[in-house]
Parts: sequence; structure tokens; C-alpha cells
Amino acid sequence: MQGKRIAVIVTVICAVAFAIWSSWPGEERRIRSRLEDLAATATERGGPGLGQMAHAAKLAGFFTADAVVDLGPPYPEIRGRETIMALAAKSMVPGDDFAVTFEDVAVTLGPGATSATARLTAVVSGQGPRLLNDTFDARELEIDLLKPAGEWQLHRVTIIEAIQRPR
Amino acid sequence: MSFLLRLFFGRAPRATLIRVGILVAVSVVVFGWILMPVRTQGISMLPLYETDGLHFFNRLTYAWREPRRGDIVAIQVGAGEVVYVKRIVGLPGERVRIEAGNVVVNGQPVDEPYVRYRTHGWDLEEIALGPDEFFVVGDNRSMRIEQHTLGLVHRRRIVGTKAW
Repeated sequence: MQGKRIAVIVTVICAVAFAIWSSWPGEERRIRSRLEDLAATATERGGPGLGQMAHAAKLAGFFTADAVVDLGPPYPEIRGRETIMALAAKSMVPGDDFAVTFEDVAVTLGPGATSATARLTAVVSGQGPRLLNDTFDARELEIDLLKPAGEWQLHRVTIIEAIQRPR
Repeated sequence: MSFLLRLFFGRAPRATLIRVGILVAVSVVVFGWILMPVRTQGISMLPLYETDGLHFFNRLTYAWREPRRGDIVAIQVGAGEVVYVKRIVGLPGERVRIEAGNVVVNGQPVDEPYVRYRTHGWDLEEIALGPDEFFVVGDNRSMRIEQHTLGLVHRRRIVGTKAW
């Protein structure tokens, strides 16, 4: 009887410890959460006019002021939060079924936990601003993040092509 | 209660549990290490694969042979949750170009009976493939070439071939 009680207590302690550990907001978890928020924001429809502007500003807020988005040749690098916001504001409003998700997210923290690198697969489905008639696209991304003011922001986004188009 | 137990576990619960355990173990092995289920999205492999179709890719084929021209392959993107499905048309060391939607390898046109749809603008200058590089393209050459993902893929990214 005593042994059974000890087993129950140990099980409960293990379960509580696991629950605390799994819900503890470590830096890696914060980064994953931030990336999920970014995907959700990219999925949102800003609507025309001011709604589109507000949505673009919200999206740009995920990036550092000097962020760089490298789409690979032949496209020029997109430099700076302002440029990202301008491009987002100019893009077409996506269709109802447009969605962005991040799969296979792997996060590596840098020294001091003030920088990090995330590798993931960005999946875009539905009819979006640049997809036209396409319904699905997936790209592997390497994202360098910084934490300049208490919140993780994207500093550099580089597309890694699984299939390299000849130039 | 006993009716429900009988309904789910039958007259021999132990044997039923063993059967369920074996079924789960076999499923984990088959779908974790041998067959890769892929739900296709997009139109680049029409007419063979339509969007939302479920297909299986064999992860073991390339353990004992190298990819061949004409193979339909799964190409790993990221850690592998997402794959591209394309057809191999160029092998390592070959020179590949596309003329009016027709693949030309080392100066010779490739017979591609699986390509039913072609349109204008499908031209690509000749490129030479490196030692571990394959050239992949979809069967649907009726969409705009700019919207079609095609090109060089490294051997390590080819993770399986069409199972059947």
C-alpha cells in the first residue's frame, strides 16, 4: 500500500514537472511563438486602403530596421523595414483561402541568447498576391534573428532553394 | 460496460491487444521508414498527379540503386515535412537544355511520352550538371515556365521514388 502511494506521488510530481518544463517560456519557445505570429499575420487579410497599410506595418514590425530579405537571383535584396512595409502595402490583397505556415522549424540560439538562427519550410497555399494561379508553394528559409529591444525580430531572411533554377 | 468492452476487444482481449500492437508497429515501420505518404498540391505534374491526390514514395529504392532518368522523385525541402514531386530528366555530368518544352540531353531530344501539355515560351539555355546534380522538371509544360519549379537538385535531397 505504501509502495503504491509513493508510485502515485512520483508520477504526479513527474507530470507536474513535465507540464512546467513544456510550458516554460524559454528563448527557443519565444522564437517559435514569434514565428507562428508572423505566419498568422502574413495569412491575415489586411483589406483595401488603410487596412492594407495597417497590415503592412504590422508585418514589417517583425523585422529589424536594417533587415535584409534575400530571395536569390535574379531578384535584388530587399533592404530595410521601410522597404518591406512599402512592398507589403503595394501587394495585392490575397484570396480568402490564402495561408502561410512554417513547418519543420529548427532553432539554434547564439551566444548570450541575443541572436538565433531558425531554419524552416515556409508553405504558402491558396491564391495569394504573387501566386496568381498557383495554389501551393514551399520554400526552405534560413532566418537570422536578433533581440534588440526585448523582442525577437527577423534580421536576415535567406531562401535556400531545394531546386535551383538555372540562371 | 461489458458490452462495450466486448465490442472493442472481442472475446479474447489479450489477443486483440496483441493484434493492435502488431498493426501499430508495422504501420510505424512502413510509414516511418519505407513508404512516404505524399498529398500532392499544385498542377506541375499534370496529367499524372492532380492536386489533393494521395501517393506513396519508396524511401528505400535509392539505397541500392541511383536515380534514373524518368523516375518520379520526392525532393526534400527543409527537414522533409514538405517535398517537391518532380521527374528526373538529366543525370550527373550531362548537358541539359529545354527547347519548346522538349528536353534535350547532350544534344539528343529525350522521348517523353508522359508530357501531354506544352505551351510557348518553354525554353532554357543549356547547362552542365555537376557530379551529384540531377535536373528535374514537372510533366505539365502548359503552365508558364516562370511559375514552374524546375532545375538542379542535389542527390542528397532526393529521398524517394514513386512506389506504384
